[in-house]
Amino acid sequence: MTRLAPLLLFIALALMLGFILLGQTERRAATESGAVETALPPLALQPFSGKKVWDQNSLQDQITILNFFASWCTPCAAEMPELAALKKQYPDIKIIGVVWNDDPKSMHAFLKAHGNPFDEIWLDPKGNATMALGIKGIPESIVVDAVGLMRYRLSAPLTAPLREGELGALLKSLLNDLPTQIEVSHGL
Amino acid sequence: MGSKWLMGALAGLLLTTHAFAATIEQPLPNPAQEAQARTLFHALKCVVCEGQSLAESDAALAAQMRARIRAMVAEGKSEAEILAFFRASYGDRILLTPPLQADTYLLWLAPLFLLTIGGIILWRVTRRPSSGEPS
Repeated sequence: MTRLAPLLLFIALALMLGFILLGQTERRAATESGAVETALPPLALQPFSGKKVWDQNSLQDQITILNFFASWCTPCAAEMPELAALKKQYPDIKIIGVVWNDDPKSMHAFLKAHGNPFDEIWLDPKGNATMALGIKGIPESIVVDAVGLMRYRLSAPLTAPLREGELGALLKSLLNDLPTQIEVSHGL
Repeated sequence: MGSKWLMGALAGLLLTTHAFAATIEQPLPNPAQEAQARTLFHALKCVVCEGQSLAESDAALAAQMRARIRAMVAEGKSEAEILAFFRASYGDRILLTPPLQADTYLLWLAPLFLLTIGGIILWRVTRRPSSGEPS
């Protein structure tokens, strides 16, 4: 038995290292939502209705939330009241719905059933915007500041504690900084 | 009545066939480009699956990624450019073979280190005479 002791100790250490590495992987996955600070890449979105053309410059000088969703997505339906509450709480923030992998007819029925908290709705039929943003699942919400920097990502449905907590705190801070950001972006 | 049912069934069959045809992915007309795209399908992970490459996955996002790769290959983008696009969006974890760099040294070297230590221990244990054996 004493001969095998070093071998057993080695196996125990190897298993421990394995669990540590696994734990690190899980922690990385859990921290995908949260604060970020990278530029919003160019998105080529298609109009949900009419013949409008996506103009990313129109996001400048305001705080925007891009919400990726679809009519077949149950958690997306569940977060609609929260998005409506967010819009009511922060009317100056533009909420843009981006429809991924869905058709306009189903989306119209979805909005009729669950309400429409969006200022604008655009389509991402080929997933190009979804891929450019590295989105893995929906719903996903991205806060973009007045100069086009992504400031927060939520890879999960919006909830009341988030709206009142860290997301709410960030939005208040961004709204407070908005006049300064506009001045800086216009070189005033 | 019978003929109406038959006509309805045939119409339904045609619609089903059409819907099925619409979901089949179109390979690139240029075989060399298609081969390049397929190489990339095997180099990238399906980001919504467990341990599957883009080539193996039936997920909608994986299908859209394959279409995007085919479009980029058709545009003349190199393999490096296409991989860079996906790495910029999803990070290095989208690669099926992680690159050897500072944050992956442990991942690459840990098995080699453990194998060496384990081998040394095993060698020492097997060559040492047992204390219970007569000398």
